[in-house]
Amino acid sequence: MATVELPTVTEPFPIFTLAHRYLLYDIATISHIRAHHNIPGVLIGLLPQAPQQNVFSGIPLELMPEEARLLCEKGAAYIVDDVRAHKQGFLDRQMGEEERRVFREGLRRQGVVAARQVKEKSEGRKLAAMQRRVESGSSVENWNDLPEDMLRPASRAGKSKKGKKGQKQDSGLATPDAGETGEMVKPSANGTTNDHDTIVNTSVDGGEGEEESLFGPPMNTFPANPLTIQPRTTSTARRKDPEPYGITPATSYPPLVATPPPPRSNPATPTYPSRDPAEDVHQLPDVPLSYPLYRYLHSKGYFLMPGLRFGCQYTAYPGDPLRFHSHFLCSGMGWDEEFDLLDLVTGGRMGTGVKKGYLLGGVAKAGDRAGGRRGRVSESEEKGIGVDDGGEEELRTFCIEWGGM
Amino acid sequence: MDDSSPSTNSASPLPSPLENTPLSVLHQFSLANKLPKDAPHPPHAHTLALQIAHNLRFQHGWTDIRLHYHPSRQATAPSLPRPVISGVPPQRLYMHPDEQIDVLQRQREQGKAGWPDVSPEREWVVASQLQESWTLRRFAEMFDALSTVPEEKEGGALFFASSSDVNGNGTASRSASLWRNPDALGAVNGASARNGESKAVVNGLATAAKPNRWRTGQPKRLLLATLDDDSTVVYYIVHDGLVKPRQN
Repeated sequence: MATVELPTVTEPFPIFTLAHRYLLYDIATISHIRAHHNIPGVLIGLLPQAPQQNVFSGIPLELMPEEARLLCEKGAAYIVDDVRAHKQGFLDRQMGEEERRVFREGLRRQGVVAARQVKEKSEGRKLAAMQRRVESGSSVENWNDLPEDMLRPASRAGKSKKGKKGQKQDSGLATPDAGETGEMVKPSANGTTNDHDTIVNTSVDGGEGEEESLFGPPMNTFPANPLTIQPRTTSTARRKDPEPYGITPATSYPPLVATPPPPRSNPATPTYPSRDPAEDVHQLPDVPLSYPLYRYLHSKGYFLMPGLRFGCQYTAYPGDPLRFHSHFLCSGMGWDEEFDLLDLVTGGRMGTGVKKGYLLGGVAKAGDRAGGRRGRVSESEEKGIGVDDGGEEELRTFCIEWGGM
Repeated sequence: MDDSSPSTNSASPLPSPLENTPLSVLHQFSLANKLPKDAPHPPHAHTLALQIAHNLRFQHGWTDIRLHYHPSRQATAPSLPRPVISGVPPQRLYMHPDEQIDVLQRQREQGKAGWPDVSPEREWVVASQLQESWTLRRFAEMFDALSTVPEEKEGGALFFASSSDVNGNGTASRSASLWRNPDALGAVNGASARNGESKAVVNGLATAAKPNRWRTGQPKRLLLATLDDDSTVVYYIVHDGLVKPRQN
């Protein structure tokens, strides 16, 4: 199986918090946490033009608070308050003139590259289409079969067939035709021949040609405008460059710089959040009470996704959710939190109906266990948690399945 | 199943005054199985367990049902939170997915097709009422008081007596053991079932000899029986730990 080389991500990486959500914008980081930290997150990016298409979402990736907290506790990430960072980075600390100029130039260069790529692509497509037309031109015998609007280009096709030597010379083909048909405004001296070619292409190839021209560079119906602009550019190198596309940067983190906080003295015991959130560099996300269950299952190698779809808190997957069905519908509970048996019955039914187990789990209150003999799994549980936490916290889980009776 | 309908109807065909109204089967059953003096449990917990046991026996065809008032000897918990039933289901109740793979693999190696005969296993059954609210702590206490596999010698056998076998003081006659599965009837020793000390040896049950290695290797499990007010009982398997689900 082909493996794509993952771009390296240096830890700790920033997790951006915005409106109490924890977001990742960098695709490299998203791949990194999925591959190395078993955290899939949820992609929430939608296209403004197609907001109803919500099956395949893109970046940004939203992390549950539990996921963000786990990454922070591991020392693999740190939290950046996006609003504060922008205020400080853009308003308080004004960008210098030189800095701004460099950034704009960088954006412009990106736009030029993008425009050039699009142009090259469309030209390649155009050439291929013309080649096809020339090759198939000889087979056209009965001109009456052609639709009305194809007549003129078809006659041109005959011409180009005659002058076969120049079939790939765009200018040799197009310029006299334009004059002859008079369908276009006569171009100026340095007029871009591309525009004409596109028109020719469009009318000849019918639908396909039109489709291509849709994605071509700005042109055709009012060719005068670009043409009048053209003479102003003096250098020949510039003239070859298409108009740069306007690039809107998707992230503000080339201009802004996220600096990781100084390392904690002991990653196992994170420092408590300080009073002033603005000064707190080690802020940890607030997590629900089910966080110990999350951390326990995560330490067992499970991938956890939000469980709203199944009416629970987490769905636990034994591997990557793209490859595996989930095993458990998980609900975290307090040790003495009372629950109705009806909840258990419905949860068990729901789980069994989708071939999963319904899992309840919570932190056993230390000290008041009745000295019970512990199961095999519980023992390993205690070990796992103890290493993580350095505390006495033991977590017990119970899986519920329908009895089938 | 047939002996579940006792002969009370034939005994009193006419409507009778209240004091002469024949006891319901369930009532007779609870009369025949009084809460022992040394049991630390309240009567309602005992009655609940009896009702579940009755349902297991006559609706689901379980056999060799026993009631446990004290924690398993292997467990170190000082007391059992409520009386717990153990019994043998007619078919295997639960098979771990890994065991299923193993069994099918062996079938294939032996060149056999279809599902093999797997012996049923003795299961723990905890009775509960739908109105109760549970906590994780109670689940944990329950598991701590139980062994992985119910011991054959522990607990007391129940008397599933018909009315004619019950006299006023709630003792059962020798024929009480006739409730047992008719197939296994020949192998059942009524006297041994009656004194409740020795287990009835039923041919074909592998539970007595050695528990399945798949069972002992897995976390504990119990069957949580939940009774509703309309006497519906639902059964859910609860595992003490992470056990991957069956692919039903």
